[in-house]
Amino acid sequence: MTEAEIQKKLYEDFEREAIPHMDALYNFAFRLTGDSDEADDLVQETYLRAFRFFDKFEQGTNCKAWLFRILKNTFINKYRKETKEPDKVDYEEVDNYYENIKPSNTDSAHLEKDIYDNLLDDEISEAVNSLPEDFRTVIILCDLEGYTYEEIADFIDIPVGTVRSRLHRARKMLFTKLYDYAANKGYILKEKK
Amino acid sequence: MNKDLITALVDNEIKDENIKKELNELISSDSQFRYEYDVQSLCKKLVREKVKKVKAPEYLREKILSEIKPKETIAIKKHNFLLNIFYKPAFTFATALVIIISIILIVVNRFDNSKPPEIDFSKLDSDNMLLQAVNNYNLILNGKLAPQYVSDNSKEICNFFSKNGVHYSTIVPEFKEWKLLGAVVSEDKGIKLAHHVYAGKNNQIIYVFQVDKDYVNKVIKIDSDLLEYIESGNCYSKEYSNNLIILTEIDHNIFAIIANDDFNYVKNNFCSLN
Repeated sequence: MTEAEIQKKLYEDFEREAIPHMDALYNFAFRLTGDSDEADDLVQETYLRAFRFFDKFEQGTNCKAWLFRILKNTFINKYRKETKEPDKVDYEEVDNYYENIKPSNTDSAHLEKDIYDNLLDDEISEAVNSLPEDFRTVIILCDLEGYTYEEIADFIDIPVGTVRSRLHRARKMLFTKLYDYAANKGYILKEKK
Repeated sequence: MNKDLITALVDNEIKDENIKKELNELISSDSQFRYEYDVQSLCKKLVREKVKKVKAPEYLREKILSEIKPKETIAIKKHNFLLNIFYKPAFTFATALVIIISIILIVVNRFDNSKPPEIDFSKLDSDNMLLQAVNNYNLILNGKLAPQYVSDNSKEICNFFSKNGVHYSTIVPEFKEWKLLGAVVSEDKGIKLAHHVYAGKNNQIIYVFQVDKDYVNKVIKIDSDLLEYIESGNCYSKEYSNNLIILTEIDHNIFAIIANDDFNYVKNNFCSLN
């Protein structure tokens, strides 16, 4: 095979294996950066990097997970704004607030009505976007993209148990934000403890 | 029991039937667990059903593919082809002459921008700027598209554009015979785009759609021959369905104008600005 033929085959294999995952990667990039121009750049850089190393990619293994890892690393290295570390979260504060808004009789029958029926789609997107990066990531991958814990663990290189505990906290945090939105709009009466 | 497991139950990630049963019993009997289960389920449902997925724009797909496409392969192949035919004894002087003349003709035609290109409006794609302008114009005439902002002041309209997410500098000229009616900001592939409308003395409508040149063929399409024609300083105009269509470049923006007023007046007004 000549060099030109090798390059052509590499391009065709890449187009078949990697390009179909672009929508999922773009959605993830958009949620990470919160900006369509930055999502464009991030996805483009991810694909250019992936193509550069595609000859090292083991055919038949999970191409999507490989691309997600490249995207996450590219984001960490180049696109994460201002701080070099992911947002630090005070779990204790979140837990305290969560416990505080929990109604004393823990009757949750009204929750769906108060929050699901009343909040606008944009308010929910805004609440998701405002979550710290690590939490936003697992929520998007699990709840929006529908990946399993094992796939998410593979994508972002963390143990399955961490995926589960991070999701648990991420949803609690999301809930407190949505609860606040709903309370501020008067859909829920805050119960002081 | 660890409450994280409630999350795994909501996500259908518990494989062990005994643990699943135990968790379900806890949820039924313990209101604290029930509450955790409801909160986790509600959040999952909200994200799944109310947060919209964003798709990769088509231009990005094309851009990435064109960047990684092995261009050298094509060049090498063409080069080899040319070398091969020059080595062939059958390749006579006459054949070479024909090729040279053809190349000259192609080059001459390519740079002959004095003639406006023929545009077949029935074959334009939905993301073509001219087609979008014509469609918007028809919506305005039929009362289906009204200005989001009403003003007869060009500065106020420019401010409206920039306050509503139009990230390029806009130009809203004022004309003696026409009154500014107002403006609309639309969104395409996440980019905000500027439109404004004038009314003539006898209720003629003059609609203007302007985009920054950098967005052309990224956000909105313009036929390449037509773009080349207007980039050479020409003002494209065409009569279409009793209206006049103009495409012209003013500063760094591409303007599509559709109007049913006196064609010469419309042409003089806009084509003199480029």
